[in-house]
Amino acid sequence: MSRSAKTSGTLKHLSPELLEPNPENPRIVFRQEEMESLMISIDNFGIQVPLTVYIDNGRYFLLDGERRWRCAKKLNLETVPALVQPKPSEFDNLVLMYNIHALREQWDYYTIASKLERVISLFEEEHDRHPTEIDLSELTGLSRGAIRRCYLLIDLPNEFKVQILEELNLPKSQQKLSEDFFIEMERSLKTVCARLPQYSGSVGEIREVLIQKFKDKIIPAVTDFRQLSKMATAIEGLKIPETHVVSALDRIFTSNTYSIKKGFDEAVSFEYEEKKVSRYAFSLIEFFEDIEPKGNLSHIDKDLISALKQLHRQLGAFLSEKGQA
Amino acid sequence: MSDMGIVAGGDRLRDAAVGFLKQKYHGAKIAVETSIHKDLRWSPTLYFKASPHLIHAYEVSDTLYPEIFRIRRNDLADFDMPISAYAICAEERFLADQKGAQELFKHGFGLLTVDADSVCLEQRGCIPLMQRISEDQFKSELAGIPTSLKRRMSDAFDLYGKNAPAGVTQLSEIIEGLILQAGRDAAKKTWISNNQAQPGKPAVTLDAFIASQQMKDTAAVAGGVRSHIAQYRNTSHHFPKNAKQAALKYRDCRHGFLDGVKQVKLFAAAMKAKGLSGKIPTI
Repeated sequence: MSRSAKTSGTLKHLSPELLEPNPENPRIVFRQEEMESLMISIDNFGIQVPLTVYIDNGRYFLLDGERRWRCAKKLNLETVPALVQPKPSEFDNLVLMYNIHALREQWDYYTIASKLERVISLFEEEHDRHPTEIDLSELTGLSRGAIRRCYLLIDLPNEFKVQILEELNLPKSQQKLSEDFFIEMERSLKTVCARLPQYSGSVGEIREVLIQKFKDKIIPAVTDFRQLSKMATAIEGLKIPETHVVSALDRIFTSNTYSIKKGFDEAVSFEYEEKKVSRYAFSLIEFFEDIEPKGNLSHIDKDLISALKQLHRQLGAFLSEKGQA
Repeated sequence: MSDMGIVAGGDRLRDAAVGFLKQKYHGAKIAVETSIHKDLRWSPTLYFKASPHLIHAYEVSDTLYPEIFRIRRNDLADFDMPISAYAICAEERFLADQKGAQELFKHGFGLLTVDADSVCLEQRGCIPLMQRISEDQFKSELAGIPTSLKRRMSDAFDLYGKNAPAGVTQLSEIIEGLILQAGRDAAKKTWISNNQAQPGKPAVTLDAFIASQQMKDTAAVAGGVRSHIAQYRNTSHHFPKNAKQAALKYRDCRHGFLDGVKQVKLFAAAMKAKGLSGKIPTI
């Protein structure tokens, strides 16, 4: 089917009973709260945008509008407006699903990832090669970042995929092990294993420990996993001895009570602070180097001068203590 | 069964409820995600005919109070078909939201819950919404009625909430008790004869009141009560011949109960005004 066919079609008014969901629709989770809002809107104003369907052996399959269709059925509407299009190929159908839906609203990544694998395999059949991130981005309309996140979920062991699906069925407020949790955890483990390959063989056990600690709130936020990545990259970036970092990581990956934050604080936090202060110092030097030739020193704010005087005193004391004054 | 409602993951709750209902209602034929009637803008998750003239409909919900109940409450009350509507939700939702549960019950809906092991339980039964009388409305009608009578009428109201025709019948029995006691009181005063104050003959007693010199000014009240008894005394025994009659009967229950409360109030007050007890006999 050509891409232009997306907007054409014959408008009909069909009974919702004649319609069936699209077997390729990656959207598998419908949250009641969102559905009820749509249902109320349809109850008040009707269906303003026609559904899009294709016909196959006398049966209509949805291309666009499964949520509207479900609400129409719940409200026992006699008919729904629908644009009828020719049947697309499986590949076109899948790609169309992404282009129609994913760009319109925020989908759960698991939803996107679940069908992206099929898009990849159909692409390979058609082109005899694995699609690049750019290929997938152009086909599906997803950003490359979104595709990378999907890959993290696709690579998860099946048991965790089941867990994500169970969580997604809950209202957002009740979700504990969210997709974000798995994406952040996987991304950090990938960084750790790339820098310290000795952990690659035990990723399964490490996940179990981290999940448990997250459930027990020993790891209070999904963003804590970024500190794991920073610990691993500090070996090269901050020249911290590998044994020092590995010792902290070992405790994080085995102990049920040792938090990521504690490991980060003990192993690399000070060095990261040093690096930050060093950046401030260079930035200060650059500032004075920049304004001095322009003769702008007399315009410096009184508060800044007062802060600089205090800094000068503290630096003098610190450096003389170090014998470097 | 695949999940085609508006609640993701609702199939576990729905399947547990289907098993429970089939057992409770002896293999009832349960329709899934099907319209009850083209004019009712709600296709429940499940429904079945509990009798030829009474439908039990169920909505699976992630919350205690499904939104479709809020937007269709009035339609269900006005619809020409007796429909009892129940929500089906996870037990943990019910335990966590007692306020929501009270609101659901107060608005006349029933509730099934499903626990983690998929065991389904009926937390609250309900009557068709067309029969529903709110507690506030009932309480406002009770003002001015003696406490002992209020207690008996509250019992009848509780029964009405579970089985409306039986509630109406119980209220009619209270009215008959009032008439019997009034008859006995009047016979003691020799205003009517003892034969005219016999149990099970309220019409005879009321006719005697109307004919009696001392009570003829209560004729209007006696006439109202007499007509109420004639119409509602055997409400639960009349089998409707078709859906329309069934709707009328079910809707009549509501009128019958509210009218009964008014008759009790008027009759008790009129008897007291005549110097009679205005109470029901003590057994």
